[in-house]
Amino acid sequence: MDITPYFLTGIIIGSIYGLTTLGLSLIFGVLRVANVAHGAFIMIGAYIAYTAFVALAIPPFASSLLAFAIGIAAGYLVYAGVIKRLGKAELNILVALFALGALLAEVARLIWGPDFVGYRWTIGSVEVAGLQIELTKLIGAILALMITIALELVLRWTYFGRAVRAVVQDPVGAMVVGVNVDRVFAFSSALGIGITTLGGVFLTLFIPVGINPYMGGPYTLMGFVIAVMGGLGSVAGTYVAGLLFGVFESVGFYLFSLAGFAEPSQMALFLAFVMLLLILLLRPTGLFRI
Amino acid sequence: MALRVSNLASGYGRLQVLFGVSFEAPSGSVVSILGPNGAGKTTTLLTVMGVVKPWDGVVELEGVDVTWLPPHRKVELGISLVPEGRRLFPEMTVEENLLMGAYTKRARDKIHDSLELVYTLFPRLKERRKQKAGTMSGGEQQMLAVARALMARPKVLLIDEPSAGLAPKVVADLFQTISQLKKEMSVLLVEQNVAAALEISDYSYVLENGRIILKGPASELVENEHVKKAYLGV
Ligand SMILES: Nc1ncnc2c1ncn2[C@@H]1O[C@H](COP(=O)(O)OP(=O)(O)OP(=O)(O)O)[C@@H](O)[C@H]1O
Ligand SMILES: [Mg+2]
Repeated sequence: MDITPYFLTGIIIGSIYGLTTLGLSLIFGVLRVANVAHGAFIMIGAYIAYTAFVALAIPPFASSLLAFAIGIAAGYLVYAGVIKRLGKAELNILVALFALGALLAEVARLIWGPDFVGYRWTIGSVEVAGLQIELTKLIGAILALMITIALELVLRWTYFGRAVRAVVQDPVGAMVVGVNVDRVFAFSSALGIGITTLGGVFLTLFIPVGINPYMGGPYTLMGFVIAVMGGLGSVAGTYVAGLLFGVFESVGFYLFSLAGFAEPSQMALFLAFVMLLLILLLRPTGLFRI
Repeated sequence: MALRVSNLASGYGRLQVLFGVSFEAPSGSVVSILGPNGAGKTTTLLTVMGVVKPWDGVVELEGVDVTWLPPHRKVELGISLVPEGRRLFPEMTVEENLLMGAYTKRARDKIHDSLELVYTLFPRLKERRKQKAGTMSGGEQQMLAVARALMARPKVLLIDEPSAGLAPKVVADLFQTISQLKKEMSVLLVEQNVAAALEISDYSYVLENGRIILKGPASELVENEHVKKAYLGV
């Protein structure tokens, strides 16, 4: 029994999982807000990719820029219209974001209908360790890694990035050294949801018939598992946790189907939650710290 | 006058904590605000800084009304706070914390001079420059908190209970350094350690229940009956 291909598949999809979770983690780390509308923005990104490809023949790597821009605008509005307005009422923010996610799903249903849709874009494949990997997926995974590295570099080496980390570590400390905390909040919300929407575009490379107005829910849940595993607010940690999740899901699926389980993908998800519990017990701050 | 505060009122939610607090801090001096737990000392500094929104009153920096400016604007204009509990960035190194201290535009231009300055003032921080702030001793963290505030090149330095949790010898050294700072700026010190604070202060105010109940040159307050009984234990 050779699990190498499952491992590779897991790494590649895991890279996308890492990318799609960066925004959730950033928003939680900086604003201390659990973005329960997370999956809805992945869904929006997926539909942007779908529409751009099917109606306008624009490939996903190009439409991801559009999705990023739309996500940034949406993230800014979410901050200014919901998070800032509701201020300290944390529960109200949670409810409002939950409602926003549901609303976005209904709007998507009005625009695109209730059915599962998707598209297939092929530009060839390469063989790695005996496994045929579609180039689109491989390039998607590599770009996801590069975006993660870019974000990490911005946070580590720019003045503004340092300010973001300062707010994560001590908001009052950041305020008294002269950081405009409100601007850091707006920026993080915009960038976070921008990355999430962009990640939704990349995800469509892996779900050829999986785009649906209500697809967001499981991604929200999965996002929280990955973000908590990675240590909320840590870019590197989140990405690595995404990889781990992908590998566990893929290898777990294989092992459970070998063992004759009827629902191997459910079991793989179960395994991922077991892993989450273990990490929380052994290392409650997550894998990395910012 | 470097800092003039008149009739400051503020609080949290509906709870009023400050009831018209007034004081002045001229440059070239150390002014202290003394008082028991819960008197509103920290609230006073946070309100001056704008971290807590003022309800009423006026805060003037060198004659300019800055009452309603947000904290980052006040830092830019020259007010720095060493907050209660230090509020360092624990996962950043000592040097990264110091660089964060020079976050404002005005401070950024002088960042190299400022670093040299604080390293001369606190050689210990230079030795520890690559260490994570969160792993340092309490005394070292307090030095770092003061040094970080100095990196902003303040005209008025607000310091909230620097002696909290430190050994007497460490407090003595730190106060020695603080009293040197007044050459360059105005220092406003909040303390429960009344004896030590009076020693380095030029002028002091006593704050109780959100009101200034006593004020005077430190040398006179040492002799005051209320101060002696309530704070000096004599
Ligand atoms: N964030 C807050 N929310 C509600 N009430 C607060 C808050 N911070 C302080 N208070 C209350 O305001 C009052 C004044 O507190 P403050 O921290 O200013 O006192 P202090 O003089 O600094 O005391 P200490 O010497 O113990 O530091 C206290 O009654 C306190 O309980
Ligand atoms: Mg206090």
